[in-house]
Amino acid sequence: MNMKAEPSRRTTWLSAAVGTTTALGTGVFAATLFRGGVTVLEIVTTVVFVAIFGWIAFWFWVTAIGAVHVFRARRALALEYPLRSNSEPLPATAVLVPIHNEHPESVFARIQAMLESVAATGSGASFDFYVLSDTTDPDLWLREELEWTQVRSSRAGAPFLYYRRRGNKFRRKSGNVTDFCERWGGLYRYLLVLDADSVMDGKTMVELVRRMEAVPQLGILQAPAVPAMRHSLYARAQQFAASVYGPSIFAGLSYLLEGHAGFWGHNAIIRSQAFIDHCGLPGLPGRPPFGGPILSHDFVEAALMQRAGYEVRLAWDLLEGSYEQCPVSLGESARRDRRWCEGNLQHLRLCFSSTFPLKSRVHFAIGIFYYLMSALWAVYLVLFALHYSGATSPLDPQLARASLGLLVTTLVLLLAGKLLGVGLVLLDPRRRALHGGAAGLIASAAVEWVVSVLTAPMFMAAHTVSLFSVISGVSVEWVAPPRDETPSPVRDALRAHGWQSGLGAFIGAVLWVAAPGLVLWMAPVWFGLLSAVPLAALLSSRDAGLRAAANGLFLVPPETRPPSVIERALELAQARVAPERSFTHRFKTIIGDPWLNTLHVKLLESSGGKTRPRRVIEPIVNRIVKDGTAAISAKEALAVLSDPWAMRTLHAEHFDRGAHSS
Amino acid sequence: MRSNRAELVGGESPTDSFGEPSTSEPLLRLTRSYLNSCGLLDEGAQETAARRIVTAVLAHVATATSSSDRNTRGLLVATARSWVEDFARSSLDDSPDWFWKARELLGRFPHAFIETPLPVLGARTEAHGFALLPKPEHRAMRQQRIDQPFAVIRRAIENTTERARDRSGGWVGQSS
Repeated sequence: MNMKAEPSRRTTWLSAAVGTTTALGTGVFAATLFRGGVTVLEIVTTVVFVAIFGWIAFWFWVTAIGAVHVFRARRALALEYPLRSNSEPLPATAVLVPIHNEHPESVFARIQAMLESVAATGSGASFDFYVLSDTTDPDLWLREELEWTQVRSSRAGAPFLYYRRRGNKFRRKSGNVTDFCERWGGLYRYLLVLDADSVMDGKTMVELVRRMEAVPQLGILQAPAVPAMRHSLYARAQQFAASVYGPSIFAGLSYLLEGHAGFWGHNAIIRSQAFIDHCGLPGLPGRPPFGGPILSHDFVEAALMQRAGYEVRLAWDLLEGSYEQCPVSLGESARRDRRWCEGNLQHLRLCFSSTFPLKSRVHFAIGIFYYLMSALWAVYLVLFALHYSGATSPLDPQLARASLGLLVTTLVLLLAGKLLGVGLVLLDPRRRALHGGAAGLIASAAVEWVVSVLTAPMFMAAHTVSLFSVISGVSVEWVAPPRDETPSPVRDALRAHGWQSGLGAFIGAVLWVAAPGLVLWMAPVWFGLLSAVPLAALLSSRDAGLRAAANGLFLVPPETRPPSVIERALELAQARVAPERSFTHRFKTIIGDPWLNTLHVKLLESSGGKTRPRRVIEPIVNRIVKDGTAAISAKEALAVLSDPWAMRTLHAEHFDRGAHSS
Repeated sequence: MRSNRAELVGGESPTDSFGEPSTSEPLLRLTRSYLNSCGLLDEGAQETAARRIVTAVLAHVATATSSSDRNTRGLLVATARSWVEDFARSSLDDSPDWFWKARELLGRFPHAFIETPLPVLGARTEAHGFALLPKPEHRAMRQQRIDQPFAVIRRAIENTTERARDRSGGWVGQSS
């Protein structure tokens, strides 16, 4: 394949490769299936097979192309890439950290580490950090303020850390960023958007700015967000997979999509003015889940940016320096997928909108297909079982040989991406050592493969249920995922995955009775589902993850040689354990401490939040003066905390009480 | 400034100034307590500053059109806060870090604080802030137009119907 082909030719090559592979696979499949004649059931089964096999072939080729690309450019994958020699001062860049009911101590530990890392580059004066809070829990709000005060007071000079809390959470994260853009976006040439769990080192931030400066038509540059800093067995397997297989996928997508790549909403740098001018999101007509505010806003923002003539690219070669945290358990992962499923299905109507360039619409389609594929797989299994129902003995030898050949081909396609990823790491002595050496790497890849095979039916079931719940009109409320690892007892696994184990038992029993010949063939499916509860409990275990690491399994570079920004973030997070004192104590502190009270009130005034009428707020204030802060509800506390007059009045009353009691 | 200071020179008590010790004494205690919390630990400076604030606030309240105890207490605290802020800001030449160092400055240099002019009441009390966020530079992020596929189809149907109606003299699509 010509690696210097034009973008349009690249996609043509990919289409041809995927088409040929799918056609070959379908030919073998049809020849096997249609041996005794053609029925409607078989035609439907073949159509479903084409979709599934085409999907597998697509990702195989993307990964294969990416692997070639990574191999050819492997010198660029040095773990410490040098900064470009550029003595010119960098343009103003705002680093945005939108948060919503997150764990404040961990968030600010990461932010402080990033502030220090940026300052160490010598370009700190070009960066301002903003914590954009949509937090609605009054206790978390106060903890955020106290953490911000601590970081702000302990640091002098650039980069500055600002804190802004919105009084409403209109359009959630995208609304939060829009609010920033409309007020302060004009002050900055670039916006570097992070998530609450992101960590990015200063050198990477500087490099992203320099790349944006070098290419004026670049609207968004997405850095890989390497999963790190988690310890459960499941999280470790994810981190390992992303570290070993991720680079080929990123490189493949980047090579094929060029300036039409995706935006994931975080760990990316955005050209501020272009974003403000062209990426204001409209609402979609109709009610949720298909209408209303756009949920997976990042894909749409990327498409709008491309429509305006700007490029959106993946900085696939920045393998170090940009991190995020992945879910610690299967349940958490499924909950995240449920939200994403709804967001992606909302894009269905955008796929057919001529508003967007074709490649953007292909992006929307890929997102939808990811979830659709699980349902198709489930349908395929049912059709397959129906086709062979009544088989009391193993399939006839010729049919079995053909089926086995197809199964092996499919497995090769599925596994090839993983094998290529492992091969690339094995060829690179530094990366090999950072993944635990050749033996550790191969053993980890084998265990990861087993985990992914066993969990695949669980995700199939979860995605299918998500898909149907969205189609039937059920919308879910976004809640912040748990960012801190907590031991997940078996009871949690039972609650989250009990139905999957039940489903596995049911399928196994039905097969045993109706099609005993398929029991073994379909064992990965029903057994995977049956083992959902114990597997979920084991995978979410932090102890199991730590034991795996002690035995050299699932080691990844951010752990074997932690970058200073991660080391510092972890060190700060350990020093900042969640406060033992109660909300009431913090509320009293904010009322009584002159400096904290002043800060709180000035933050309210700076943010310009909405307040309740005096006739509503004054009785609550009077109740607090009379009976103390414990006498009000959380909702009333939120109202009082949001009101500058109430906070000042309580502050003065606090000293009046002190004066009378002294 | 000179008049305020004159009230305090010679150690006049609030009784001398207001003639109502029962009214001013709790206010003095409140103000001292507030200044102490701010970091002004020197008792002499606390006393002097509290008297000056109470004198100014009571004089202001006497001329104000309406007042209540709650307002008076609020004004005392607001005046003390503004005074401390003026002192910290001027001590650090308006450095953006003045707020974070104010408590320390107040503890270390109580007499310099007393030398700082008391802010003029009524002119600025609550509005006397500092920039916790940069001054906004407002930009409108206009909502982009996204053509809906069904809207396109609907428009096409409507246009076709419209054309057919025109051609047929207006009877297409009309109920009797």
